[in-house]
Amino acid sequence: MKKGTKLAIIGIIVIAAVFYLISTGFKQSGVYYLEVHELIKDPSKYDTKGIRVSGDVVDGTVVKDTKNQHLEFVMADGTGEKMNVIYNGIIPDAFTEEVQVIVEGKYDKDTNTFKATTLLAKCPSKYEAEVEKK
Amino acid sequence: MGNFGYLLQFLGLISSAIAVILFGSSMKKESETYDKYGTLFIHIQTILITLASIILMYALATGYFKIEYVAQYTDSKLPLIYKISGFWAGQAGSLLFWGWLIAVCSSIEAFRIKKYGLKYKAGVFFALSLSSGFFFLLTNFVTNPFKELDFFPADGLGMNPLLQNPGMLYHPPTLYLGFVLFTIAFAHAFSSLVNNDNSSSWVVKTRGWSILSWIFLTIGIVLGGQWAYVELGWGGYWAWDPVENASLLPWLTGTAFLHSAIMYERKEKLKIWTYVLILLTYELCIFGTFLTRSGVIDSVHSFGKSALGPFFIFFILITGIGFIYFLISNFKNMKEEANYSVVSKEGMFYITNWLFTALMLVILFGTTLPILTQLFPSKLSVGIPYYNKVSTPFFMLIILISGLCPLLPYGNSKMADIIKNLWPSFIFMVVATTLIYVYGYTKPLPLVLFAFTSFSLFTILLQIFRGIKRNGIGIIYRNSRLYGALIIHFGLVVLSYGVIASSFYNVSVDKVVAPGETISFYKYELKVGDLVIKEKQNYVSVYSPVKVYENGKYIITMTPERRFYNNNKEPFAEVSIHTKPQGDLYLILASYSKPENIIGIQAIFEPFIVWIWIGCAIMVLGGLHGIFQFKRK
Repeated sequence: MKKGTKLAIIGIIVIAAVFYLISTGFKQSGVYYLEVHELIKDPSKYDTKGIRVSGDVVDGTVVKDTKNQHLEFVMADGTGEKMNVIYNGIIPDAFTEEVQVIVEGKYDKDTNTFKATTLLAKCPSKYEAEVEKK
Repeated sequence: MGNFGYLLQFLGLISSAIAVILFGSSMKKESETYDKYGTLFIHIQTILITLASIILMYALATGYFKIEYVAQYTDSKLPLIYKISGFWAGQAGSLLFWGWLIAVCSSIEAFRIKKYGLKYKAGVFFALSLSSGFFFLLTNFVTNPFKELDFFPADGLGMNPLLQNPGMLYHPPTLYLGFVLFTIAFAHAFSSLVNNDNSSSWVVKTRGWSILSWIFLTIGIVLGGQWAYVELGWGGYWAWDPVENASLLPWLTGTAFLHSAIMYERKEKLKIWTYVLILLTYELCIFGTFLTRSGVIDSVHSFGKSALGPFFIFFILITGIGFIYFLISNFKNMKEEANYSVVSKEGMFYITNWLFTALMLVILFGTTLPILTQLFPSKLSVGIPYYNKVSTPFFMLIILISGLCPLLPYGNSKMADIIKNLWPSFIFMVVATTLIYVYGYTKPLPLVLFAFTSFSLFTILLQIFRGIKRNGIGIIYRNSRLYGALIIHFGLVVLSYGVIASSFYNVSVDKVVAPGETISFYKYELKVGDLVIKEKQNYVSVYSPVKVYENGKYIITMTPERRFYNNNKEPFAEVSIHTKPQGDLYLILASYSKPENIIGIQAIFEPFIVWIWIGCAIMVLGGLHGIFQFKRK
């Protein structure tokens, strides 16, 4: 075999590996990235993969038990659709009422409750704050 | 004050625009006058923007809250050093900072390459001024750091407590410096294409800059990891967060570029690769900024949503298309015969290029998946398991080659010689891996990774020792390029050990106890003390002194802490870390309640983590060593 051909084969192998890894990696660990209303509308559609939902914490709904590291709140999105969220674990520092959160876990249709295994809190004003006239 | 700063920044933009026009014209038809005035305007631009930056820093330092940016990121109680770091803490300021760095580099370059050909200089400064001008365009018209409010707030909003960490002082500037310095190599590459000069001269001229950019990028990324490691809620030193990925992507192509450039310079090979890699690196630097600024991707580190996105996309397209156009027109000059075997230095460099590019692609795919699938009915995303899975094979091969490659000769070589050189490393690999296995570290994946890393470690050390034995210790200085590279590879191996151990063998416990009680964890006894409350400059600190005993012997009192900052309702955790070569003990004050008299502690043991920082330091030293070329006798 010519040396040039051999080298070209390496390139092809690498590209094939890239495609293979992307597709299998994605199949196994890809997650749906949804907003609350999308999930509530048709939960069975997203059974096949993990789900990741983003939305806002509704004011006044947070029940926080720091001692037992238990957290409950209602999450809503722009359309106003809501669901309950339960989370056990260390509560992130950035978590407060009126923040944006991203939760990963399982959704139970009957009780409209999302059991979150991970909770990411992202304050929209975290690094970009609006100065308001007081 | 804001208006004056704005004026300076506006004039700065005008200067870079004039420089672009003058050098652009000189690129077509060389002109001494254009060159002279173009250079003058580059310096004027630098002076104006430097003054503008000083004004912004002064406003930040003195708390001139009428400027919106100052009010957004600082308050009167913030320690001075963090007030000044507000310069790069926010969107508008960091873009100005970025542009300013390019301007300063352009001025330095204007002195450094003063004597070069007019046409060549025209290409270089055209690209540089275009880059700096782009950032000033953004700060002038899209996100202005000098915008004044129509009232004077009594106090600012303050800086997010997560940003009040020494990391804020070092991480963003080094990272930005890394990004910016690659612009210089890019500008030279562009100029060589425009001038149809595909000799190795542009690579040689920018060698120092390229290594320096790589060094800063490396430091920036690792410092960022270190910061994320000590800050709770950022997922440890590396969590494959889009923003973290955004800094890794140009590092990968930049590293490949450095390798490819060696081939370009020494063997006149892999030329097209080298051009493509510097283009990719430059664009990925810009793309990373786009990712973090546009709000298209959810990340714990990102800036807010903004209107910047389209500008970045437009700029990336324009520069990318321009560069590729000239690259294609140079194709005929760069035809090369692939007359080397796979098992040679050339072959390894070629494979290295592929591996880094492939790694970049799989990470890029994962990072941009939410954008790519936005058009489809359901948006998709990938998490940490995806990245771990797809990147591991490539990292493994890269580590293996990092040991193997320096050993191989150029051109064609006999398989027998190579095997003769390699068998000691094989034996070492087998012995080390068996030992690790016997000691009970039996998980298969880390074992394989450990084997590869050990193979490389021994190969690299063996080469260094053989070289010294043959040529004396002075060879390290005489051949600083080779030994610089070997030191970098050695650092990489050290870093890999840290990553492997800490990813696969960390242990943790999470317990709620009453003060005075003891938690047994790993080889430690943790005696939890009663809560202490202290008032500090801009926060109130609550901590629990935890006495740590190892095998019954007292070692240290650690203080996992929560801080209540004046501007935030919620407390922020400040973890306590006790570092030792064999691992870090990491304590978090997870919860507490005074009335119920309880304290919750999470303890984590992160094995070998300190070797990640040490490995990085070695890589940086190796890079610095490689920059300086000592004259050979």
